Amino acid sequence: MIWFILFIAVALATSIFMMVKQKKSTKEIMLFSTIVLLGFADWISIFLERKFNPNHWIASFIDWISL
Amino acid sequence: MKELKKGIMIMMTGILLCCTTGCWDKNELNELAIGELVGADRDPDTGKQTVYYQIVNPEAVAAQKGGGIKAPVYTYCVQADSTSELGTKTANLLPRKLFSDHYQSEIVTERYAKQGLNSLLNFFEKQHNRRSNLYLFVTDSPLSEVMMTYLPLERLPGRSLRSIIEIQSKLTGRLSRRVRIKDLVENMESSRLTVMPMISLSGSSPSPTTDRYEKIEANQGNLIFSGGAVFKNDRMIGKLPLNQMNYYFILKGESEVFMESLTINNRTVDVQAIKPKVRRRLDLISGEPVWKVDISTKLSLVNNEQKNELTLENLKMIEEKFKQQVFQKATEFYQESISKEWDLFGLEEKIKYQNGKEWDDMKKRGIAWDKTKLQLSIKSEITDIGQTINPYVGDNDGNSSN
Amino acid sequence: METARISTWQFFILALGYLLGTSFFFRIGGLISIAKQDAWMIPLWSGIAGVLLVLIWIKLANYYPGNTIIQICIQVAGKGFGGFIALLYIGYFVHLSALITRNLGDFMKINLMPRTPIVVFHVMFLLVICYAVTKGVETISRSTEFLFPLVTVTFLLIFFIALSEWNWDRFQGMFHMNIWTTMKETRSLIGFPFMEAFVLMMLFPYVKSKNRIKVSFILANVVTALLLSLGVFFTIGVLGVTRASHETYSLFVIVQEMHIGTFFEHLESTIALILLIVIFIKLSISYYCAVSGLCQLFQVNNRSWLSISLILLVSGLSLGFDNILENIVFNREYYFEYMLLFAVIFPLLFLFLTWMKKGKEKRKVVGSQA
Repeated sequence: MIWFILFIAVALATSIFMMVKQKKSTKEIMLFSTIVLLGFADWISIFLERKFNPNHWIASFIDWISL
Repeated sequence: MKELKKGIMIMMTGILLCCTTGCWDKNELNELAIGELVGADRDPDTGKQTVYYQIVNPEAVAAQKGGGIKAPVYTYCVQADSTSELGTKTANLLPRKLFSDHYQSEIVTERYAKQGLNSLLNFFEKQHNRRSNLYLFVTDSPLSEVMMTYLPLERLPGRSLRSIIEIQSKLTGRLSRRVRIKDLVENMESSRLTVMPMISLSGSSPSPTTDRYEKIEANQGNLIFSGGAVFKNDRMIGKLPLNQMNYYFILKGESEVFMESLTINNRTVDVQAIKPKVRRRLDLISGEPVWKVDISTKLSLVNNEQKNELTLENLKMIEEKFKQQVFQKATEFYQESISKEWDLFGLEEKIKYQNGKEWDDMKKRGIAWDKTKLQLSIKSEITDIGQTINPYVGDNDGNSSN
Repeated sequence: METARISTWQFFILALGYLLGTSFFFRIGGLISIAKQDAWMIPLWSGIAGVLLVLIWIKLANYYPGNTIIQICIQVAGKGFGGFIALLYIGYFVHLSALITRNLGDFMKINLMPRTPIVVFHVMFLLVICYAVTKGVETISRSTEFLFPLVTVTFLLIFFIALSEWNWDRFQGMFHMNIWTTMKETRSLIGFPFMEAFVLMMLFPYVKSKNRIKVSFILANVVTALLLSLGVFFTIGVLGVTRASHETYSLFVIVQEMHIGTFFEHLESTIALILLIVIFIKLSISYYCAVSGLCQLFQVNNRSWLSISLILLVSGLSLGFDNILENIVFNREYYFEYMLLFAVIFPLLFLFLTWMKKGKEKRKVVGSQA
């Protein structure tokens, strides 16, 4: 896991650096970082064995609606 | 900037190559024990399972063409109380990883088949690398002897067994190719019976050493085809004798050839039907189910020991005799199977799925499938009379028994 | 927004590949296990439902020519609420990509490479997809156009070789199903693949001749329904109901057991290649939609950075299921309802809102004239 965190940190830093260099708009950089962080959170949840499972959520939501 | 991009590209390619997915599942040929034939037995009293693996000796197979005599296969035997234990015990014994993708045939003992092969078949079908189109054999000889014999000519026993089926289906019509594991599995949840080939060890003892390759006598210790094992679902319930097998397959419509030996004018005439066309349908005649089977075929004369000249009338006689004899024997076979309550042709299911008022009436009257009559009609014409027309007439009349 | 152009034929192939490709692999066994010998009828009525849905989507798209579903959301329902729905759509695209990725991983892991970690398949394939998406919709449609004949030829080959196993007896017991329960149990077939096709609304603006979208889209639906039905029919005749309903991947088993004589055997890797191609088609479309949806919603011009960032998210989400059974159960029990929201409820809502707006405008015009 530690390698994964390191990898993401380095990759995120590099890509933000490159994006800034390419003069991307702030909005794009923000969007990019948000998605990466979302993905990162998902992966961390997998590593911590508290998996975020959208299918499970959807299933219980549908069950709840149709009662 | 361009340089940097190039460098990143090369780095990425390197990383991707390392991830190439084959690496986890790679199989080095010389780390594998290539299974070729597998035999299974289960003791009905203790429930102990015994499995024999015949593992190919690659060097010997490569040298086979060169003529050097080496053991082409080695047989390993594993005994365990459960299927999962078999796996671990196999790992204890085999110095290489068992590779089951290339199994050629599978043998089970008669007593195992009579207990039911459910667990074996389920286990087999669950494996990702299984191929259910391999042939399944039942043996009535001791499995230890069947698995411990070297066969001449086709030296890999599994492939030799496979050839038996191919040859029988092509030459005698006593087997069809639909005797694979998948054919048994398909009927596991139906009332239709399945017939699988039986093999026995010929001679008094197996030939467990490669010495036999140096002997001229080839009959001893061979695996020979000896009949059919009748399965209901996954359990063996009886045997078909060899001389009835071809009637079974022709009624089932799976024969590629059909051989019949006729007696005409007290002399033997052998005919061969090639690719007989069989049409089968179920009908209701005056409230009774009737199974109509139309066989139409072209015949070729294989052997003619008659003294008479071969005339058109004579040919007609042969055709007529063929019809009568096949009709009689097939009907006999059918009656016999009905009296044993063997639903070899899936009639029970056929009747179950018939629609219509008359059929419903029939079902209400409680007429079971085993009341079904066979109505056989045979059409045949001789199209091939062989290289000679009239037989040579010698001093000996060709039939020494007369 | 990119200025790509795809021809009607390319759109048709994209739609066909999207609809038929993966469902041919993953749907057949499940249908047979529910409806037995009658399973070949199910794709037909699902196809009819599919065509009806297409008519709704086309109707909606015709009110907003040159707009994707994301832009329609914002135009109809405003920046706030519309933006929220657009976000939901994008979320769905991401989720769909994850599901498709998982299908690929499951297939490869179960059938071909059981010791390889499933993540590796996902990430490797997503990298390829990411590249294709960065290059744009023209690239995707051209590669689809190039690969599709390959798929067709292979399927035809398989079809003809496997016909030697054909047995009419396996159809015994046809026409014995209970139509309503079967319809209810197999409703997920309408969800996947037919409802999923609304994703293609993201591609409408790129098609050269707008008025022929409708015909080619409907045609793709009809062809899918027919071929799927044929596929089921073929599987029953070749593999039999008993085995098809027990196997996870019935088509794969057919190919696995296929042989020509004794020398052409073990042909299953060919079918795995075909699966990779059809998954490529489907995944690249859904992934493209996710990325370009984000671009349109947040008005970003360049797709490349967004598509890279999504790899992490999609590969993570695709691990949501623990095993294939969870996937199958989710698909059978919930997928239809889940899809209903995106493919039926939202489009109908938009149509309704559009009509309201139009009515208002008309009244305004009439009012000002008076």
